[in-house]
This record gives sequence, structure tokens and C-alpha cells, in this order.
Amino acid sequence: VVAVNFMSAPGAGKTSVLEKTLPALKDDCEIAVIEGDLYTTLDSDRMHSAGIPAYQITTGTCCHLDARMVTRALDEFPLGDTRLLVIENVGNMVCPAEFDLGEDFRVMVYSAVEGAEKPQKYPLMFQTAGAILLNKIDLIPYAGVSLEELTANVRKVNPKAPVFPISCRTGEGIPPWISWFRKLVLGLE
Amino acid sequence: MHETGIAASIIEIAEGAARGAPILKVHLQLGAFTGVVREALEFAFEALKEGTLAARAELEIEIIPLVAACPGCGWTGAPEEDYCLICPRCAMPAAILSGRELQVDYVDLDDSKQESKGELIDGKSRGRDQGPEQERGMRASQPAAL
Repeated sequence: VVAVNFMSAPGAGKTSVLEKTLPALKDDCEIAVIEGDLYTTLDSDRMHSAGIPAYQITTGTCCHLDARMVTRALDEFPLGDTRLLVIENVGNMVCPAEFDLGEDFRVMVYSAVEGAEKPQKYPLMFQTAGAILLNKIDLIPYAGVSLEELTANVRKVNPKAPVFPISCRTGEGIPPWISWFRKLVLGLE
Repeated sequence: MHETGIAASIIEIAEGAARGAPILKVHLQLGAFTGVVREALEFAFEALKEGTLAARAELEIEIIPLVAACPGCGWTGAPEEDYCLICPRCAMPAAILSGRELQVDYVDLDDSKQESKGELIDGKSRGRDQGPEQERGMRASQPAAL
């Protein structure tokens, strides 16, 4: 099983990215999702709607997932033939970065309209990510953020990870991301 | 706010290593480039150690600085202000050498408490009054003598 940990601040678009990405990979391999959320099952409901088996961990007041929660989830959520296990972390740009879930790979989703300086303010999540998605680029003209400056700041903290500017709403930039992610998953197997 | 969970794990790891002996010191290596706040961790450790083998233990924290190195030109540096991991000399991606640590390095145990140390060797010797001068090896052979 290849396990990928998706992390971001609340509302950056993790679930939307998964809704765009996972159906495109369904023919390549069996996929399952573990959703981390404080209270609701809204995200796992969205995965079910997309035809992806999902298990919801509600953490109560805990601001991140840790390996024990994932272990407990796996007791109740048998993986069977699953080849890609996606873990969608609790929306939080600080704490989840510190907790290793036993994943093979980390993906960070960042809402590009939140400003170009965040990679320096929250370096740990940017630094530990294996790939970084800059979402909501369709809104950039309205937000006064420079995508070039943002990308350069991401590169300073993490010079190695590929950076994908995307918009889940318009679909811009999604195909190259999906193609890269498919290669990653099939390559990691 | 996650320091409490980390402190609980540190105590659990230390208790696992102590195998029944009271713990005097837990030596922790803590990287400068982690999301862990030292003061919060110390506070949580003090609050959680009550009633555990670490009840008398001191948490000794060794801060490991962030050090990056360039695989291309050999530059090393400590980019602790801007977390920039692009080599300032040749612009290649630098690798993190240290600064991400969060691990229990060692624990110091109270060797005088032979009773509780006996527990870890063999449950049968539990509660028996064994002299503090006894060595581990002797206790290990105790059941045969019984």
C-alpha cells in the first residue's frame, strides 16, 4: 500500500483536490481515503459521493492526526486490495507537519490567495512536503498576490518539491498534477 | 497544544526503557526546526509524570540546531532565520543535516531500587526484598534459587 498524507490549512482545498484527483486514478488502482476532521463527516461523505471508500476519524478537539489514530482507523477499516491509501489530515498549517503518520509521501495544498509570505511563516509544512499544490489560482487576480513571488518563497523553503499551480474550480493546472501524481503512486508501489 | 501528547509519548517511551525501575532523568533531543515549544513540553511533562515511573524524573532537553548542507559545493550553514534551503554559494537545494530531532536519547534509572528492577527480569521476583548490592545477573538467576 502506498500511503499519501494530504495537509493544508482549513479551506485550502484538500477535499476538492481529492475529488478532482482520485476518480482519475480509480482505473489504475484500488483507492481508499482516511479523513481527519474535528467533528463532522462532511469530507468522507464527499468521498463516498465520488465513489471512493472513506473512513472518517473525528478527532474531537485534536488539531492533527497522529499515527495511533490512523492505526485505530485501520483496525476498523480493512484495506483489502487497496493500493493507494490517502490520508486527509485535519485542516491546520502548523501541527500536522510535526506528526509522522507512517506515510510514504506528503502533499501540501496551499490556498494561493492567502499571501506570498506564508512559506516563511509556516516553514515546516512547506519543507516536509514532497509536492506542493498552489490552489485557487483563478482568484489570484482579485487577491493581489504574486504567484511568482509565492513560488519563489516556496522554493526557498523547499527547493526540491515540485510545485503545481492549480484551480480546482476551473480545472486549470489539474491535468499535469494528476499525471505527475499517477506516476508517483505507480512508481512507489 | 500538541506538546501534551508528545510529553505523554515521551513518558511512555521512557517507561518502556525503564522496565519497572524509577526514572531519574529523561534526556530528549529536540531539533530547532520542529513544531515543538520547549516550555510547553516541559510544563506538560511535569503535569503528566505524576503516578508514573517518571514521577521523580527530570526532563533534560538538548536543543539540536538546524544545520543545512549543500551536496554540490559542500557549504554548510544554519538558516534559522529564513529557513532558506537554497545554497547561498551555488543555488543547489541544500539538505537538512540536523534540527528535525524529537527523540528520547537515553534515560537514567534509579539502580538502588532493586525490587522494581527485579520485575523486569522476572515477574516472580516481584515484591521480594533483594539487597541493593545485587547485580542484574544475580536477579536473573533468582528463580532457579527459589
